Amino acid sequence: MNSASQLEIREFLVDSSALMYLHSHEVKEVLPLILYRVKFYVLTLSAYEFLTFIYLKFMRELKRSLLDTLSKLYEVISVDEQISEKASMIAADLLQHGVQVETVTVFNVAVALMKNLAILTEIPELYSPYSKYGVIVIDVKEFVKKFKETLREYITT
Amino acid sequence: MKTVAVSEDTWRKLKELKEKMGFSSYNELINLLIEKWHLISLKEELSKIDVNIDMNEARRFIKYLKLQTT
Repeated sequence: MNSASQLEIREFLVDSSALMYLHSHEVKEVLPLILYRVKFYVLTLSAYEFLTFIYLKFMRELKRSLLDTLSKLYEVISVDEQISEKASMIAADLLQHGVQVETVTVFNVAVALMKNLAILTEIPELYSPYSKYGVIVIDVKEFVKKFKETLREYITT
Repeated sequence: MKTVAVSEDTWRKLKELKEKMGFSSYNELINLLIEKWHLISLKEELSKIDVNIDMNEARRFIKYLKLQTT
């Protein structure tokens, strides 16, 4: 997928690695603008992975529960019966072909396909086995770079 | 276009702000105020997760989690 068409997409599913990148110091300054312009969805399982890392590393610095904060910044999606069924169909198909399946990744793919969202990730290779299902995967670093370029063009015109 | 009713005092403040910002319409001004409000709210929420994430460490953590569950 080329970068021009990436920018046309305005709704994304972010996985835990993308969440970590978005909240890293390289992106922190521009994140409010990104969140204002683009709609991000996060699966509860990805929120769990992200928050596990945050609590593990920064528990002493943080005074409150962060799920409420995350749900104000992102549209949090809970796993329901339809998502579970879709994920199990994909997992079964991969296992049949001898491909290892990781739970949160397969659930992200299921949600992305069901809701017609592109996945933003910092580790695109995680999703290589799922390309045959037609899921769109975008490197979050490329996305942020393109967003900053577009912002610069907008400011200078 | 829709019409909204505001008090005399609000009208005066909006007019002053519109001139100060150099906008040609109230529509532009109100849109800017809405955008500012959203950005301030987002910054407030983001300040609650203001941590210094080391991406190399984060990547190692994610890969460790994924390997544990395959």
